[in-house]
Amino acid sequence: MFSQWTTQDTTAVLLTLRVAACCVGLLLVPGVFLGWLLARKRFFGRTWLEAAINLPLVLPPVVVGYGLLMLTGRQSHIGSFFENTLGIPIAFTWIAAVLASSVMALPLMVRAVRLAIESVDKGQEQAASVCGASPMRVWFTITLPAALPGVITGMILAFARSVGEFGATITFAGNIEGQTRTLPLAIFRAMQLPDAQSSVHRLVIASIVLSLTAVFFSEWLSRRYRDSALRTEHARSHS
Amino acid sequence: MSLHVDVQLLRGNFELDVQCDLAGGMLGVYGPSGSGKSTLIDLLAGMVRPTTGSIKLNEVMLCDAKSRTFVPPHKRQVCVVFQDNRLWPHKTVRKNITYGYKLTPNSSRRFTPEEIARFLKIDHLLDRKAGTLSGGEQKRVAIARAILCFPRLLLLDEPTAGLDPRLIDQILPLLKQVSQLTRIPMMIVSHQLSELLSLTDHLLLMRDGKAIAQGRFMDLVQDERTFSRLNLSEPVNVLPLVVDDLDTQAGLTVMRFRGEPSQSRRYPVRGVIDETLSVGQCVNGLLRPSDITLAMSPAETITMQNRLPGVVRQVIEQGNRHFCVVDVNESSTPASVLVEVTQQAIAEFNLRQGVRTWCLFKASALSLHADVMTEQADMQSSLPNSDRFDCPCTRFRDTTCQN
Repeated sequence: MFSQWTTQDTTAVLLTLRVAACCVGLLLVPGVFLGWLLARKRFFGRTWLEAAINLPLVLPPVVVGYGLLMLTGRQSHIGSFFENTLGIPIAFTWIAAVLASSVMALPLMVRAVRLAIESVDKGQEQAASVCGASPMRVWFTITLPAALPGVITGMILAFARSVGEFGATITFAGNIEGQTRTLPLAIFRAMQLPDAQSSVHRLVIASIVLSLTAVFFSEWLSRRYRDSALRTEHARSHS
Repeated sequence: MSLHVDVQLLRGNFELDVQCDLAGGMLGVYGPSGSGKSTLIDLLAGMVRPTTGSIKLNEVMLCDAKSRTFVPPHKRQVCVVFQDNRLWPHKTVRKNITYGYKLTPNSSRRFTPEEIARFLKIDHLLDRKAGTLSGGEQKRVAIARAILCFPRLLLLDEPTAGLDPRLIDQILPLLKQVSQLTRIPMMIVSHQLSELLSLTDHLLLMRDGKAIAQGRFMDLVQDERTFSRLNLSEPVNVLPLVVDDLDTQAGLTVMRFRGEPSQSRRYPVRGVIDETLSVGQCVNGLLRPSDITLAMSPAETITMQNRLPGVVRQVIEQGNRHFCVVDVNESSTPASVLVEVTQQAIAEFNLRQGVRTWCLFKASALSLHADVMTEQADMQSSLPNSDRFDCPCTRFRDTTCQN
């Protein structure tokens, strides 16, 4: 079956990886920031912000895609500014695919980071600040290292969400080969063609391998962290 | 060093109102649980903003509600040893104790982490993760971390909470040594009066969020307003003693008051034998006011092992309870004890100022706790250049009292 592996298949896999990696990279800073904001700060409009971040979880992905199209399509102000002034078209390009999966993955990322930061003991942060550490230093030396497993979980969830993203992408980015045709879209396309059964199978197996790799990687990371925590616990009980 | 505190805080139903001053040394903050002691620490360290009032440290306004001044915690140079230590469990001990040290400019560093680690006996733990340490070790690491921030004020929140008696006996002298060596002004919060008194007799009394009074323990005992707030059933008499002899045959630790020549007492102070002590070591003897009997003669026909001649300095009457303050040490270091008596006893034996009497108590009533040598350290602090100790470790070895 894999002897029939085509360059289109390779393109789809590479594009999927590129979109997913860009999505994680794009989400890292805002995702961690929003997670921290929701975990630690009380401000006006907090509930609304939370609702807005979580909206893509409950909306049909096609609606999210349509919303993005309205917001950054050629007809919109933002879209025309990017296309005409900066010369970067957004809708129906690979950038749109990244944006669509980012919006879909943001709530997963924020949720993971937020839970991790909420579980960091505030007392340990206070201890650092009375030792003379500025809030920024406290964040980078105490809070972030303690919340790191949560941040990694969030990144892997975002990666997986991006690999599987379909509805928002096809609405906002289309299904253009080499541009926006990621694995799920390629499978969808192949299913519509007559006699492309084996192509579908190849792509499905490629998706499964990709997803399993992500899951194993995340399991490995969390086990590594748990083991080091266990070692700490073990040593404590023996001292 | 000078600290002026006058702060109020409203938090729900809880109201805190504290006025106090500290000129240096140690101040013991005493009050029952829920009296606002820990909140006071939060206010001083800048973790909580007061509703009204101000805090001024060394002429620097740390916070003032009127002028809306608020110095954030990391710029205050006020460090805290938290009740729960709050070490960073995944960092090594070395990283824990050098965290604040690295943030201190070179010119303000007075000790190296190695010196302090050796002094606090944590130098063999430096590469362990802080989360793997025992309670006593964690406390010492927390103290090291705080000292190495070189704060202008050190706050200790219930430093003996959760430690067993043996560890408390290690930590208290250590704190006293730290105070003598670094001369960082300290505020120690506790609900154990006897513990505070073995560190300092300068107290701030808290009750229901209010600072009721500040002063010397004996002055607070004599004040009607504060008397009832002190738990005088605790062993509040702290006798500054030196071990003269460990008499295993008699089962006694034989002691004298500090400042007296060796074996000079006709009636030495005797406690139950404690072989962890050594001859020449300084100890604090803790004694309850109700465990002391006053007699008009040494009463040598009874089994009580302690007979201290003394003179009644004062008779205190507070409601139904009566106390005599008796000076028991004729030599240079003044020592007095609080003795609980009944009204009947006062009348029968005509107890009043100037009456010669004998304080009798059992050897087993006296609980002995190792202490650091205070006299010698005081001498050292009067030396020129004593501000900059070159090696605290050797200095500390000296202060384990040999006299």
